[in-house]
Amino acid sequence: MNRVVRGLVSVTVAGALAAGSAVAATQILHDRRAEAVAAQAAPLAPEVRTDRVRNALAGLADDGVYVAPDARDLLDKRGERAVARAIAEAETPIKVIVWTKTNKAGASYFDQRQQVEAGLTEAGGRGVYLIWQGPENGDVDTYGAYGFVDVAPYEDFTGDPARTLPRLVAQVDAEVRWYERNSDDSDYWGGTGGGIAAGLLIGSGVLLAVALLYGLLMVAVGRRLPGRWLW
Amino acid sequence: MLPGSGPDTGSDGAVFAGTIDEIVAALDQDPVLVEEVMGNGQTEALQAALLEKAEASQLPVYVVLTKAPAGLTTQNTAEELLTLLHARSGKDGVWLVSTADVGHVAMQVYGDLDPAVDDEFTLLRNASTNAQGEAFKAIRSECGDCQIHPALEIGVTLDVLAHGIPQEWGTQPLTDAQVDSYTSSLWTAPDTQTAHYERAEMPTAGLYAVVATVTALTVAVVAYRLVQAIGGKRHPRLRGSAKPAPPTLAERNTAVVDARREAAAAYRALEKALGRAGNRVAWERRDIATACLERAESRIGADDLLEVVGGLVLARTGSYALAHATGQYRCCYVDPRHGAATKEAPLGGGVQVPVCAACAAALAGKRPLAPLLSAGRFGSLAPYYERSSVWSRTGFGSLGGDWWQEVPR
Repeated sequence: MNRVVRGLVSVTVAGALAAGSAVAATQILHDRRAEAVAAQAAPLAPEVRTDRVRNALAGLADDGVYVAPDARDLLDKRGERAVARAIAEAETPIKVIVWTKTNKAGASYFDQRQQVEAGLTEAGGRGVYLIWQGPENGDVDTYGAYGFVDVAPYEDFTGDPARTLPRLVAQVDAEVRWYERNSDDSDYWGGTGGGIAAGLLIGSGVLLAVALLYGLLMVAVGRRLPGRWLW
Repeated sequence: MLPGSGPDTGSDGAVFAGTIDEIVAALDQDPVLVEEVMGNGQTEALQAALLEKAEASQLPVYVVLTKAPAGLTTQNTAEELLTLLHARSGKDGVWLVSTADVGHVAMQVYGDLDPAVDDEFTLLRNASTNAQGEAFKAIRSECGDCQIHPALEIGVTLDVLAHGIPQEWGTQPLTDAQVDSYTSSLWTAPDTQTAHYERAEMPTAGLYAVVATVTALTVAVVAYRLVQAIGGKRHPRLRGSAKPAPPTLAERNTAVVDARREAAAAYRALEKALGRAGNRVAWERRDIATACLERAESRIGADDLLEVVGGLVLARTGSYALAHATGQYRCCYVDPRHGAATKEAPLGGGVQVPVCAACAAALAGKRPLAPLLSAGRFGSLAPYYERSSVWSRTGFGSLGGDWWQEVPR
């Protein structure tokens, strides 16, 4: 076999192995991430929602405010009507839940809130939700799209919710910011081109490390690999 | 809300017993009251399951799982609510109460429910605790992270009560099937905490490109070189690593045999000379010879080359002491088998050591030395003076001093 043929065979074999392993590596990356995303969504799926969250989502549908039966001592019917009026006047869709803080109702505090957000998102559109659990206790966030509301439960959830909640609801239009997310902005590597460039850089580093290891081994053993780069 | 205006209702009209009176009124209808706030996500199913167990109980039971009514005065709202409910209703029986803010179950037995036993409460609690232990074990074996809902404690206690108040200590009447039924989601809560900070997302196009490029580049280069290696000359030596090959085992064995012969001859010579010495030789010199003879004796037949060479040098040192009035025998530091040292030469680091003429020439010409080698733990060979032994410390006497005294007999 002459040296040109020999070299071509090596290039072909190496190229095939490289292509195969690149496909396998991206496939593994895809599968791992898909699994993680599915696992993350599992506790938020409609069929595992707690009855408390289901009741709240159903109660929000008409006027945007829901008071759990156990939370009447927090907000009475008059207060509820005041909140509903404020919601009707606001431009942003707003949902207000008043309930007792509990982790004995089928999910942790945080998961209950996430289930509410998932349920609201499912219904479509984007908006803001407030969950009042008590003074300085609750959540304010956006659903359906990335956004930020400049209302902090630990600062702004004070006083009588029958007065505070309508006031906070009226502030939402002015305090909410929406962020448009497009796929390029969120790509840390800057798209396919940037990814290939970064990959070449990282790959050279990896090869350097491999070469270093091989060199050390060669010196330690006193022998080198058979053959040459070019025959 | 004003007192006496009827029970609380939520936005959807669901009723909530928010006061002691309302709870007592609810218990008149049904001995089990489970509110959504303590309903473990499936209030109706939990209420039904507990009610079924309560109806199977041989004794009157009252179960309340709710939010503590406003106005309670202690931290332990479950115990306090239980006491108030019993006082208001005046009903004897087994009371089991838990509130959302404490999370444990308060239990109390009122009235002489079983005339046969004196301490219904402790016997019941003991059996219930034992049964709960079994249930915990079953749950843990299925779901290591699952949390236990207070309803489980109540359910297990009601199952115990289906057999009446237990009559003895340390037992529990639940069947395996009953224990296993508590692994269902009705009694446990999965400890899921959806990701707070790290949100899993599908990889971006850029990340796919990075992973694919790194893998392809690395595999291509490494694979190319490995394929090129196929059929090449087998593991060629590196250029410039032409060290003299270390002696083989056979060569070393011959070396030991040769050294033994030489050492035995030197030993016999010393023995003879010492016998002849008498008073002509100063007693100090005779002492040295005797000491060397004693130490050489056990070494000349040894298997280790260094020991045999040590015996040889000891014998020569003894003979030298008898033959000369002053001074001592100095061998070649590099290899004592080279004989007596004639010169001093700098060896590694500029230290002057006595060497034979051949070694001195080799050092001057920067030619490789052939030192006495000693085998390490894994069979590797190195000059004896690079290892730690009595021979490397004394240089077989070439470094001077009463070195033989350091050599064990």
